[in-house]
Amino acid sequence: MSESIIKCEGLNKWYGSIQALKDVSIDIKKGESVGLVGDNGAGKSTFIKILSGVHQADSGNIYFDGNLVKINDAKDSMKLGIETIYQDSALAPTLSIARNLFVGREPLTLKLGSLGLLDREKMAKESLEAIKRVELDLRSGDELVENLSGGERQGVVIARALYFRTKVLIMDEPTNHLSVKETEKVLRWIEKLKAEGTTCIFITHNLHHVYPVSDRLVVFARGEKIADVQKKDTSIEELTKMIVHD
Amino acid sequence: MRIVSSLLIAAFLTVSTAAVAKPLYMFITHASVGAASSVFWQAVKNGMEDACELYDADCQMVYLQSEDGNIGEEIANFNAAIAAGADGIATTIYDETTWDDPVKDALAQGINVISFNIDDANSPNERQAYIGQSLRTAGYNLMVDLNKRFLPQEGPMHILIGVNAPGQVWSEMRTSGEEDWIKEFAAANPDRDITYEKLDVGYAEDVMNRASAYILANPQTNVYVSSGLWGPDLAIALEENGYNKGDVIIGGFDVVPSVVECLKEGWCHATVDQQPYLQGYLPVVQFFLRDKYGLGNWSVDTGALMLHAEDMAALEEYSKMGVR
Amino acid sequence: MNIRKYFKYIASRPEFAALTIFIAIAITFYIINENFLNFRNLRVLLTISPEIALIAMGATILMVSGEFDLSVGSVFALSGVVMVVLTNEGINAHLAFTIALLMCLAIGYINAIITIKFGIPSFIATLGTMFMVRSVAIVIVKADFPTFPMEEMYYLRAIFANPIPGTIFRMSFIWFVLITLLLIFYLHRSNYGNWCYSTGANQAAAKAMGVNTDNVKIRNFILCAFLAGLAGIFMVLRTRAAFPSVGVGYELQAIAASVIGGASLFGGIGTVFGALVGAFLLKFLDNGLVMARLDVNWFRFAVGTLLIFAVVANTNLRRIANKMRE
Repeated sequence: MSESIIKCEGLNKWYGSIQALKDVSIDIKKGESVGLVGDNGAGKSTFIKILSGVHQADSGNIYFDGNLVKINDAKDSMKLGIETIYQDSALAPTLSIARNLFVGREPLTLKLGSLGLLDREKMAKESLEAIKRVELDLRSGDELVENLSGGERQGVVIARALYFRTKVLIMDEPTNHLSVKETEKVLRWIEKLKAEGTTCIFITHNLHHVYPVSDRLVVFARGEKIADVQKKDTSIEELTKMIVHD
Repeated sequence: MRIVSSLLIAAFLTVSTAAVAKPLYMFITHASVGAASSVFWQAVKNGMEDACELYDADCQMVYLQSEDGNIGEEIANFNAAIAAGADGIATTIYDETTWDDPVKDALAQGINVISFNIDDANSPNERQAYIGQSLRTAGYNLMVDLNKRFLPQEGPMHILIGVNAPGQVWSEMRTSGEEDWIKEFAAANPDRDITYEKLDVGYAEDVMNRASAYILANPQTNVYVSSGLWGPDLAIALEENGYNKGDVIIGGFDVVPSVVECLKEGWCHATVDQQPYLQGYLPVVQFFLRDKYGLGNWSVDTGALMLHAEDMAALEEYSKMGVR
Repeated sequence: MNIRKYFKYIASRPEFAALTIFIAIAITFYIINENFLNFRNLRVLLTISPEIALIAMGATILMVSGEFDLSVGSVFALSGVVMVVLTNEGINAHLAFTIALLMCLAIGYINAIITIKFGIPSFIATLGTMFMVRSVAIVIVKADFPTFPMEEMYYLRAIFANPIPGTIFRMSFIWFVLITLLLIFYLHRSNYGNWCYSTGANQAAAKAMGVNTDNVKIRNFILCAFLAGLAGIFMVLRTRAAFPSVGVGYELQAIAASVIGGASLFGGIGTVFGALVGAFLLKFLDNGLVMARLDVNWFRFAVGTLLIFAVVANTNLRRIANKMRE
């Protein structure tokens, strides 16, 4: 039996008078890949934002690796080993791959307090290695992200997660706006992440994309978790019915 | 925009005048808010405020929100002053017809109208007095003064006229005056090679940059006059580049500590004190006397005082006070 | 180096495009009038260019992180005025110098707080402080146009302003070089700099990666105001005159210099060296037009044309360079 990596008990969140999350409890195991599905406004984004520190739950507990934790901001979330990738918001297009890879976690040679000299050699070398792991054929880590296709950018994002041995990777619509070929690539990378033991949580509208790579599917509606099933116990049609008929 | 600003002025003034029973004197200027921070206009304002304190009156100086010399906005401000119930309005006038009707309106309502700083000398405008001296005449007289003591009396003369703010009334008029004299003088002395050139020199280090570049490119330049107080900046460049005092005669306007120093050291040769303090002070005196004792107004030539190195000792104190 | 590779290198680094234009302008003006590059003229140019360059570099760094500071012109004026007025009031000149600079740090911090805490665009926030600071400068000076306290300022002038005998440089130039090196380290070689770029390029992504974007901006606002104030002090020490009316329009000049040097108004792009080149270019252009006996009223026209040309060129060069796959 796999151990729990993230366990939420009774999460509630209000935005003003609207209750975005209602008593949500979930236990995610290490190495699982969980697809969060549901219609707009169902609460999937809010749930993700709480895990990544953008918002705080009004009540409820979060356990990470068995320990009770408080996630007050993005830094807390990252310290735990959770990395969140929003659509379009994961990379800075005008910066190089290397700089993007290491933003916030730059390797430094000299240091004075939190200010330090970038170890650019290391950044160049390591970023090249990292993107090789996702089989991206790029000449150097100095290539600007804005020159990459959508799929290649997702590749960089995933390479980053792999490199930093992120424990939990949360992805918001990872295959949106991608071509068929690129989508295939992304799904393969997610498989790779799984193989390395990374827990993956993704939000998606596209059941056809996420279904093949998920172990488990959780359906949200009106702030509540209305279904939590193992992939083998369900089908795309059933899930669709659940979402639509709510 | 003009309507809004006039309404705002009128509203503000109506409120403020309703609250206080003091007489209200308003100064309508053609200076933009940016130009208002200049030495000249600050001295005018100081003069106005000192007089107002003395006579226990309420004084307002109104600048233009848009840019220097925007006649339309200035007339709007003038009319707003009438609407606000001012007892006396001092205004600059530099157009032959535009002020005629507004001034008539003001006078019809019993408001004392005096022009200051610059006046329409030609067509009938019924303002009751003029206090000031023309910017143009001041420029002309600066050249006359320089010629008396400093300008080379024989041989060629090449003059650089530095226009600090092209398009702005104060700058253009002063330099036009300088230009007038030069043209006259050249015509009267056909045997001498007298030439000049006008240049947009800007302020501060732009003057240093452009004027010195010009002089380097035109080494025959032996005189530099401008519409402002940045002569000292050019002097620094000349000094550092190995020129001697007097190689280039420098004349300008206003009396600020840096100009005083420059005159004392001998790099600058003359400066014009248009006595802006008087231009702010005297209208208030006249408004007050008319209100109180029914005395009539009289025009005053505030003169343009030409100042030189020997005048500096006495002057320094006054310069610090922002009154000269 | 093969020509294609070289072109791609140049095109993807806008500051080199600016440098090329700068060199082209210098050569052109020299050909028209060889006095352009003589020692006397260079001395003047090397005196005034560093001042605007300091402001431009500060503006660029702030722009890279996605914000603007329109109050730099007013801060430029106020710092010199404060230093002189305080000294005239009897405060030790060196202390007055320090107080003036600390005040600039405070103004930078205020700019940051208004922008961040109240969530209004920095363009507007600093437009407001631009007026406020300018007003303070005028009011402080009002009844007391400051004479320059020559004896008290002797050492300050010696350290920061005086010409170095036998050379075309002054002390301010040395300080300028040192500061430029520090700024290059800050923006291009440090982690703080990486955070500046990522904050400006994609604030949400930077935040998601744990970068404290608020702190990044606060630092840069403070830095920008500090550099503007320092430049103002250099000028006052050099000219021995403090006026509250100087610096009007410098915020636009700084932005123009930054943009000519390759910075993007949208954040995430820009270099310290580019700002430096842009600033020097503006002053050299100004000077050169006079030397070339062109009507200096065309200066503004030239600057505007250059600005548009530079931005169009930089944008398109990037696109071309990016499309050039090896």
